Amino acid sequence: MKTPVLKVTDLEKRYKHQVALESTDFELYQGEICAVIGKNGAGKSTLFKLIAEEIFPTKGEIALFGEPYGKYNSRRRMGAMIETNVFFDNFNAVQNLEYYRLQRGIPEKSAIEKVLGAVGLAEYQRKKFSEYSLGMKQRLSLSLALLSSPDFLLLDEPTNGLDPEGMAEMRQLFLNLNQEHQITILISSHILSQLQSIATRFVFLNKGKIIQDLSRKELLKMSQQFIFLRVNDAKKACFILENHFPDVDYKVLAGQQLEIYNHIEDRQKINRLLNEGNVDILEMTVKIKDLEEYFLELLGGNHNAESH
Amino acid sequence: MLNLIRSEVYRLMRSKLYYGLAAVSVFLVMAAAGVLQYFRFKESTFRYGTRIFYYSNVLAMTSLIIILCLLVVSILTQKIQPKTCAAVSFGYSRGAVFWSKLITLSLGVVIMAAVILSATILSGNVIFDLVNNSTLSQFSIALINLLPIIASAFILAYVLGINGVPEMLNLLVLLFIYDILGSLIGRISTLKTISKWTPSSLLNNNLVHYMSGSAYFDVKCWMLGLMIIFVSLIIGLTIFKKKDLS
Repeated sequence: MKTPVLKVTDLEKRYKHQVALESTDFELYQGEICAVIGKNGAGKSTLFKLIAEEIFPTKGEIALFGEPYGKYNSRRRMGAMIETNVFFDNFNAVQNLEYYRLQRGIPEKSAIEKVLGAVGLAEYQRKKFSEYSLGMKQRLSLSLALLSSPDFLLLDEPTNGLDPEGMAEMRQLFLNLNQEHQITILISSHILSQLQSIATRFVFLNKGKIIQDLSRKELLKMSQQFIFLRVNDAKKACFILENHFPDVDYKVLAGQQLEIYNHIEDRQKINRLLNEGNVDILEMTVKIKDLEEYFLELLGGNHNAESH
Repeated sequence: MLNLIRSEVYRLMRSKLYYGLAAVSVFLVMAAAGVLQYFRFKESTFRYGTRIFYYSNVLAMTSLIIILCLLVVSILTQKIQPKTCAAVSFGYSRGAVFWSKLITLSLGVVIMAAVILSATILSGNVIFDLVNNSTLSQFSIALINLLPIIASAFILAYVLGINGVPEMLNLLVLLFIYDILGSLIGRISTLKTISKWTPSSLLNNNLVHYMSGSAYFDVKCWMLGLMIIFVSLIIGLTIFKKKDLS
């Protein structure tokens, strides 16, 4: 059986009476890009800090490359980007990375130029860290995570502070690292649309608990297709729908709008029935919920409960 | 661990504060010699323009030396937690981080102390006339007594710094233990015996004997110094190994 890159078992972190993370179990295998999604305070950073061993768990186990927590060799195969203030303000990018190159025993000095080039900081390498913008600081943090040519990247909010162009560049970089070098990535972000296009797996975290762990395929299946309808009389449309499709799952929105979550294949029949019932259809399209909507729905509760 | 030390040396060697402190200290000891010499020539009755008095300033200014140690400590322990996180997440143990910084700082302090002491001895030798042959040997003995106590203050400052104690609080703790504690305990008659074992009393005793030309190797200084070092390291390392870094 394949050894997981990361195995988290019954992980828990408590601060006095506050639970930051509880009963967390998951495995990550080589080549995966796993997106950890959750609101602020959901426990994402706690999970990342536990994996990086910056904080100790109250309970549970973490294994990296099959080695238990506290074994140090496996950690050298990991590159972590959790905070940006790991650098010295009065050093420039090269000096900051040289400090960490020496610390990590990386023999090739060229490694610094290579990673600075990869994150797009080559032309700012002699600028002092204190003069860097937030986006540049993020890029430098990423270059540090890449410095030791890791097999596993731990990236906590790596696109924070980047402009849209920078985000796209980073996204491409993560994909390249994953596809060309088979680097496994565990990544979190508030910008869900970023993760939607690159992640192969999605872990939803809420109030310190994993509430859903889905593959990309499963997510696409669950981020539903639905029929969006705008009519002149929503009440009448509902009556017709319920009469002909007793199991219909729908939601009425403001402005005489409806979302129908099943019977997608019956959309022509729905069209005909509404016309026959003298309901004017102003708009009828099939839409797909994106990850953002799915996420909000997951954390916000069930749409059925609100609609009926 | 060697790699950790190499990186810390890289950092220390690029610290302007480190060189600044060394330069200011050397300037101050030389300026003190200059001032004494100036008054010696200006006022015939001025009694302090001597090598013995000049050297005594080093022994008497322990608070200043402690502040100097604290400033050097702060070079490698300021905003230390995120940097420690980076080392720990890469696979270094907290113990290795603790010892590597201590070893680097100790090297830095030893080099700085050697430079300042050389400047002191050299300026004393050049500027002041030799009245008593034994002055330098007396000063050396007094320095040997001073060494463990200053080392203990340095270690304590480091242990507090690496465990995240703010610099100002760190300074207050040091000044309390090495300066105020002795006189406080000395005021309580039942604790008079104990007060003789406080850093300030031992340092005061050392200074008095040096000034009277009867300096001797005081084992109490070493016992107290080593005890503070040992206790500080045990407690400091235990806390550092167990604490969450962020």
